Amino acid sequence: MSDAAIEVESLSRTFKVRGAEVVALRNVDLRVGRGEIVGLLGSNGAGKTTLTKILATLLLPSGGAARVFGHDVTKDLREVRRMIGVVLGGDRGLYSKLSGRDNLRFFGMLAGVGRRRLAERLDAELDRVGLTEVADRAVETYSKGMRQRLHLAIGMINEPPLLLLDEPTVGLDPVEAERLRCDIATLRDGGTSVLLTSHYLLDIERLADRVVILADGEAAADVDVAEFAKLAGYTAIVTIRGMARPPELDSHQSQFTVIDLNETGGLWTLRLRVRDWSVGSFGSLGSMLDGVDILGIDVAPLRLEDVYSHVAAQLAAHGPTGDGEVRP
Amino acid sequence: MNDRLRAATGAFLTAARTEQRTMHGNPLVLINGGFLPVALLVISVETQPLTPGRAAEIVVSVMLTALWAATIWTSGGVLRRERTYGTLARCVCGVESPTIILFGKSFGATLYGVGMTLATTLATVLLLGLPIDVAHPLWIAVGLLVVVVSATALGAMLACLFLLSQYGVIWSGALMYPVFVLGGLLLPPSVLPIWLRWVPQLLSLHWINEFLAGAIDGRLSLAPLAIAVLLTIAYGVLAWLTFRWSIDQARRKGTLDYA
Amino acid sequence: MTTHDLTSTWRWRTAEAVRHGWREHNVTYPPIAVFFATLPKGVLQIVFFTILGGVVAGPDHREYAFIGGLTLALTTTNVVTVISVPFADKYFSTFWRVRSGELPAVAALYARALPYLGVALGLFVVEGGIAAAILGFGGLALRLLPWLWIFVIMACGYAMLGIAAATATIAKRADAIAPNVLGYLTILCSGAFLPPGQVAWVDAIGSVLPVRHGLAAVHAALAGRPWLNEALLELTICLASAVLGLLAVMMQTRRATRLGHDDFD
Repeated sequence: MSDAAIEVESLSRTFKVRGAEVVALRNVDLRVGRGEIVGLLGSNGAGKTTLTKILATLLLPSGGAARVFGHDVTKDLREVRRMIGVVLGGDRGLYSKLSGRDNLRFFGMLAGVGRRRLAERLDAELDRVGLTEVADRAVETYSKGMRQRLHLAIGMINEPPLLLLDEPTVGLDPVEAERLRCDIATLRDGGTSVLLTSHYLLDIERLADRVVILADGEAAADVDVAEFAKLAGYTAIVTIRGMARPPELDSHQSQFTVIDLNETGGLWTLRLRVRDWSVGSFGSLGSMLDGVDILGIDVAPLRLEDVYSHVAAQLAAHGPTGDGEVRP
Repeated sequence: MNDRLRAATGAFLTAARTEQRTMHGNPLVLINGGFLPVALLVISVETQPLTPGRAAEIVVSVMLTALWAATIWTSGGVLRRERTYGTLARCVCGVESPTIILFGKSFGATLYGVGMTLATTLATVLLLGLPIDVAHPLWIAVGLLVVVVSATALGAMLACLFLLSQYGVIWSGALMYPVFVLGGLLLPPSVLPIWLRWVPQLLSLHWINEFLAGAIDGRLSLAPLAIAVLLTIAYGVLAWLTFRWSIDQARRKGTLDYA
Repeated sequence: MTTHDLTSTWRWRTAEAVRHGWREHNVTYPPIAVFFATLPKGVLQIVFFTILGGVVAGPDHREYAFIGGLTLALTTTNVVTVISVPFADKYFSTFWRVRSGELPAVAALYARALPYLGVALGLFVVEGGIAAAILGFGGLALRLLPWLWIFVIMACGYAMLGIAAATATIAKRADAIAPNVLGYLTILCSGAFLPPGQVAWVDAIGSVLPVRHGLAAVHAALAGRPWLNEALLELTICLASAVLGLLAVMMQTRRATRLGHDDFD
């Protein structure tokens, strides 16, 4: 068996929409190691779900190759399906008139779980996702969070070494979303590899080891989460409020980049991007603000949303470079 | 008062037009208004030769029988479709009276059903070469107008079933054959047991059937038409009362939004 | 894994699918709806066609129309519920799991449809009994009992053709039309009401659909004429319907894999 959970090489997928060709994936390369969580980011229509469906053997690629634990997703269907759990999520994909237990049982059988094992797995999964008490209620009475948890239970019923999660926390309240993240983290700690697509950077921040950004069907970036933060080119935003004369910045330009300066009625607000925020940054700020009348300073550490917005803006302006790199 | 009337009329017509647009391409219209008259006409007239008078009777009966089936699924399905689209709550909780919206939608759907049934029946009559002479065409038109109004009221009444039960589709399907058997349309009341012969008299379509058959073969009588109109008014009142109660129940049980 | 283990696993998977179909059936057609809606509908359908036969074609046609009415109730009222199985995968967007499961998709569909067929046949016997009592055809009903197996073949053929029609058209928003067209074609062309030899095009269409030959076999058997050929033809059409169902599922699976649309749209 291969070292990697997922290996994707030059994967392409084109759709015909009303006679026109739409390129959903263009020569994508991707690797997910064993026990690794890789976050797949991208705007709507970037190709995330298309890639997930190809890996889930639900969709054929137009070109290239994809393997799950060494098995080709277009040829070794049975082997691949036994090794994956798929969570496409959402309100659909469940027999809503039947109970959670009925759904889990039927899909567990389809996922190849044996008869005796299924009985044990049913109770274990329902317990793990906290649905034991409502297991025998019709799914249509479940909240969104409960449905997502049921989807996760179905995805894990066959104890797959690889989980494909497509936007698992969409529509969930913060508490439910955090609960789901904890469940996923526990799976990873148990050795499960995960490919996670999400719009919510908090999912990536909390869970992912690496981030792959898809843009216009291409892999525009493939970096560790820690490195991902550096793609924005800064690590914090400082907001300074003062009165009378705003500070001079020329000699401090290497550390700070001005975002904007607003002056109204003798008061001003200056926002700065800081390249590398550290203890030493206080000293630089101090010398910069010497003699300036300050009313307040706020320091906001970089959030991944900020990084992604910056990266997305760059990609929108310049497009993917084709070499899997995004320039900060 | 004029403003209120204008607003209500506007709401009624808008609801009717909206329902007609949603009925565009709806297969249910094609099925019940299209296939059923053809099937019933062919099996009724091809089994043995017919006189012109008997042919006319059968054609009218088949048309009204098919119309009943169409009513169940088109105008009777108005609220079921709203529930499927997730628009039911908005329809019944708007500024205008929900009853006006219901009747407007039922009217729009009925026009479609009547139109399709009429067109298919006429086409089949022509294709089969059935011998039919119409004695009073103007009264036929009047009769058809009453058919539209009556079917609208009947459909509105049936539509409320879907507010009362999530199995409304199954109950509605079961309503076809009681009227086929007891409605006095294709099966005349004389073939029913004596103790059941009063049942067709409760159905407006039975009286319209008598009236239209008379208008075709020259035995015109306005009494059946009058009774049909009275029954239609009764259906309308029943629909209004049932609908108000149904909405109330749906609000109590929280089922307005269940798809 | 031995052959025995494999066979046992496949049997269990199929049994699970049947069990799932039973659960689906009970929530879609709960007992209260079956007994108070479907059952009376079937009875009244038989009564309607029988009396109509007498009205349009004379008293001699009533017996013929009764047997036809039985068949129509069996197929267009009872068995037609099997199309809920492919419809469920459409409306709940679960087809992607069914087609990527260990059990072949067509096997999963047919296995889930089995309880619907079982209930349909059970209802048929009850409906027939009640209608026969109402119409005074008790003797005829009893004479039909040994030929129940032909009705079972007709039911199976109709079910599988219904599933095939629903599955094949499901993506084109014609899913409501196809099974209903099948129903009306059955009323018109199966010989349930209109005896063979009356209208040429009706005979031609009916000859390739389920029910026609089975009904002919039943009428022949009751009249003491040879019935085997017609029964075999009905069985052939039943098997052909099963193949059509398989082809329809394969087509939808390929379509879904090609286009990535897993909710049938």
